[in-house]
Amino acid sequence: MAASTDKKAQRSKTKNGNFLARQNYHGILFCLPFVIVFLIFNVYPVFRTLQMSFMNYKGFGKETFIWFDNYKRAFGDKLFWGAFLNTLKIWGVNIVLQLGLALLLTIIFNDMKYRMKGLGIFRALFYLPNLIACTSVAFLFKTLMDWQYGTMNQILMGAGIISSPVNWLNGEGLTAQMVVGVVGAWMWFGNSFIMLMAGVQGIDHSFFEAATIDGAGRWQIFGKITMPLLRPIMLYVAVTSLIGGLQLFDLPYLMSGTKGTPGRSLFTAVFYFYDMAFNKNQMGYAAALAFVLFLIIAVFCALAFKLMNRKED
Amino acid sequence: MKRELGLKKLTAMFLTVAMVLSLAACGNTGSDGGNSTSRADSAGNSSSADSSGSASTDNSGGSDGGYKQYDGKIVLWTLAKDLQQFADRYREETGNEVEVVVFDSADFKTKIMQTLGAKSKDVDVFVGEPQMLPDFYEAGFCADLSALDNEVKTRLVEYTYEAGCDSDGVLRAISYQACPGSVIYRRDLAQEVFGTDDPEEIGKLFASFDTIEETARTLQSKGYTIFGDTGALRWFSISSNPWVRDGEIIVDQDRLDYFDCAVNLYQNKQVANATEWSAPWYASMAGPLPVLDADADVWGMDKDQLMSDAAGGGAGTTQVFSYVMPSWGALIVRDNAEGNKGKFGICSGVCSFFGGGTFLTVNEYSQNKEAAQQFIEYCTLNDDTAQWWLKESNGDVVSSKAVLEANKDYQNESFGNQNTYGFYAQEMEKIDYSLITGYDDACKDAFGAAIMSVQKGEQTKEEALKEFYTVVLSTYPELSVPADAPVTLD
Amino acid sequence: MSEKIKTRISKSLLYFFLIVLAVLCFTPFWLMLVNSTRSGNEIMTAFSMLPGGSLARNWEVVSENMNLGRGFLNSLFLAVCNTVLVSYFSALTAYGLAFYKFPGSRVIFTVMLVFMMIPSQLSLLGFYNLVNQLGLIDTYWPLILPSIASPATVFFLRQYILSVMPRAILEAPRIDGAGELTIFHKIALPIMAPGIATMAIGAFIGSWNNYLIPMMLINTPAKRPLPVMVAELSAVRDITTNLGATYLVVAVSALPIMIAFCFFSKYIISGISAGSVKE
Repeated sequence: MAASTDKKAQRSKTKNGNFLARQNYHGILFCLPFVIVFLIFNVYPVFRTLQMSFMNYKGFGKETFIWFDNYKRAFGDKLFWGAFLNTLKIWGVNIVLQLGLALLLTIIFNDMKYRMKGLGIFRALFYLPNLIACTSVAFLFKTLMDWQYGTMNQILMGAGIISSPVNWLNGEGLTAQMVVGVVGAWMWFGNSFIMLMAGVQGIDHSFFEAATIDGAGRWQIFGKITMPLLRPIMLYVAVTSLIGGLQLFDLPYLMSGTKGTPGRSLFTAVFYFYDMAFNKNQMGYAAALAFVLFLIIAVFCALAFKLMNRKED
Repeated sequence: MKRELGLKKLTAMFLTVAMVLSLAACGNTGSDGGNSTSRADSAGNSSSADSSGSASTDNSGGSDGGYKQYDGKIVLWTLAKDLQQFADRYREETGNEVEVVVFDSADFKTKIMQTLGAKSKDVDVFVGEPQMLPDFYEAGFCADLSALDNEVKTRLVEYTYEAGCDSDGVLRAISYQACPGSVIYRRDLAQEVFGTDDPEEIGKLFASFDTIEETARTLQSKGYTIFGDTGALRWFSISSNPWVRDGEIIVDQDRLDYFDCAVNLYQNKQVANATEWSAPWYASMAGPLPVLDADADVWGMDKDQLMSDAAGGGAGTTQVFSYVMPSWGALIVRDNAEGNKGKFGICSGVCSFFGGGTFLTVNEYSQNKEAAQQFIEYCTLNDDTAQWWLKESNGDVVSSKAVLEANKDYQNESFGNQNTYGFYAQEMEKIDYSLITGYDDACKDAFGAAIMSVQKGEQTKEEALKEFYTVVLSTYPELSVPADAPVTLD
Repeated sequence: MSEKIKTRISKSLLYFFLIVLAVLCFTPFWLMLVNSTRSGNEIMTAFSMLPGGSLARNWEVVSENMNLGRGFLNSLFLAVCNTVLVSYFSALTAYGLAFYKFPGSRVIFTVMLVFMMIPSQLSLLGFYNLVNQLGLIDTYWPLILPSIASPATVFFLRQYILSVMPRAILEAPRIDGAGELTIFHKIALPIMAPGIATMAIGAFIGSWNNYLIPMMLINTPAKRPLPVMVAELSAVRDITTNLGATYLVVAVSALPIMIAFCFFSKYIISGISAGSVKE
């Protein structure tokens, strides 16, 4: 089927070059509104920020160029790199759970043998945590996981799983990071699940039916049909969660009561630069931090694309 | 994690920050119009406040005649609704219209920075808390109010005048409020443990970090805890030296004592593990708390049962003896005291301090500067207004020295009939504003984090102090560590 | 026979797992509703899964302090505009990028990706400057127009359309002489519908919960959307009196999202059964 598509396309290309060129000119038209608005509201502010990163700018008053001083400082800033490491830890916990759960659910609901029912309802319920503003989520979990009065410790101790209350959010740094990672996964796995399902449902069902009739096992279908066809969507989910993950801010910011405690374990990279920009009045330096972070993310994304594309060949 | 629309990422602080931060932001708890108990309270006291209030009319800046009528309205941006009441009264008395727009305190500074950074004329008067003001001055947002300089200097509490002046000494902001610090303690427990509830005597128990440790031990032997948590001590971190002088970060002996005191209190279990602004902290004002720490096995019990045991003062419970807070904090204690209302007293601590306060300033770009200034005068320099507010809030400390003086013998029944205004007026005399620097918040936070890591046994004192310097230096590279610092950085 | 029982057991286990997960997802939502009926003191001192009796009191505090209906309409207007713009223009752009070859299409795609990687908190300053220069402070334009350019959505829809829509499907209508825009409307848009709906939900919620940008740009109280009003509420009084009220506003503001979500959720399913992908 794919081959015939290509042939047809080729035929029409050779037959009617001008016609195609005229069509392609429509592509430019279709993208034009996006491009114009994008240039004004996205590109301009970022270039303004780039300019700021070379300046000694406090957010007000005089701007003087100091060129690369901010960047030099950023590369030697222990706290920033510590914050970056924290980001990786929290995101690591988060992404494994979030994508793992989403993928597992996708497999369950696409199983030809079990034919699970209630997809609509479950999907809606799993998506619920996304509907509540991040601030409310953070507030709720802070209350639930309070080590003295929180319900979480009560339940765990009542069930005999732990023998003394765990200080989830104000004890060990690593515990707090794990908690935030898990809460993040709880919030977002429904979203990833919907993305993956949207991708799977775009796949022609006859593929699955044919494969099942041919006697292919569950994992074979998953590995040979579902995964390859899901690749563009998987790439999307992977790249966006990487980008979003490295920009993690709201959740740790709110769950630590805007302080980044315990220790500095919940200070993420974006949290650190937000603090610099809006609390410490070092807008220029914060801008430089943002661009350093951007460079790191860009490298990670390039790697992700490379990995995904290599599989395709 | 999910990446949404570009702008959505900016929903940084929605509701909870608002909740959490509006607590941390200070000076906005004076009004409690909806609280029926305090309404009854102020009614009960109105006779005494009225009689003392009459003393102030003769030295007010012209309460009836002096106000001009302006066309149109002025717009006021603020972070607490108190000023709405001022604006209503202003309209009634002068016929001028003030539109009060309340913003959430967590983002208020950013909002002002953005709006006035763009030279907006949409706002005429805006407020600022002391720690925001230097940035507002430096950015040129605040109009020159030096026409009022002499009045403010002579008639208002001194530290509010100093905080209202920019680095060149030009007056740019005026406060209707003053927020001197205090130790708020339980009179009934003081009687029981120390045989007296006299503020003078109890003040001695909090006079230094040594006596605080001693006091904590005595309280512990009776089953009480001195503070909710050791964060209470942070207010005493600026006693004789500023945090930064001549570009050097200063950790003097007082600060090291504060460090040790906080670690000892925590490790000896002399605090209740009720962190400021947490639910148990509020609950502690009204009654006993269950002792909950890693060693206590109270988790097998039903929690309601536990709470009722605690309320009965049974074993495994404790009571918090005191809170260290500025004057507005005393009102928080009062409003959450429930059955303990009236059982609190107020005394001084290791050093005098202040915290928060609402300063009013005229937008430099406003087109109604004259009308705006008149409103500020009305709120801050009119003693009738001050007297009215003092009565209305029943406990908020105003900045007018004459009104404080007139009320110095007023006995506040919420605090065991103590004459709180007299006390606070005295405290304010001792505030040394020259010790305040722009680095204080960052230093206090970093020092507090260092203390916490030692309390939990994660770091030694030396390691923690090194980390403190590293954090402050990373944030402000222009600072340095003096040669006589208690630790040397590698 | 035993195979059948095995299937049944593992199926039950799977349902059990799904139900547990669903309960975990629903609990906080329930807590939010419960807390909106409790007083601030109750919320702070004890935890409960059962409603309390302070709903009327909380409602009183809310209606004393804000015009909830107004905020509701403001939020709804913004959310609907944003959702429509995001959906339509992102689909159009994604289609343009995926099915036409024109000079610069790769550049647009790459630049878009690159800009997704820049932490968005930081463009706040530049964004404000820009809006100010355009004279659009205190208007809804800067809250609505930028949604025409939503890189993440375009990226998703481009990937989506590439995986669900064969190029060949465009051949027939083109030969029939249909206009390119008509083809987009009649053929591409319905095929992309499930993907668009997925992103539309996100756009609606994003707009509905958006706080910082409207807080920065809107000065007139009557123009404020709900989240900004909520923040004001918490600034008004001390926390013990308004915590329950705050929960109430949050719960009320979550309802339309629920409704919108149910609607879109159905749309996804119907979009699939329409079967425009299958031949």
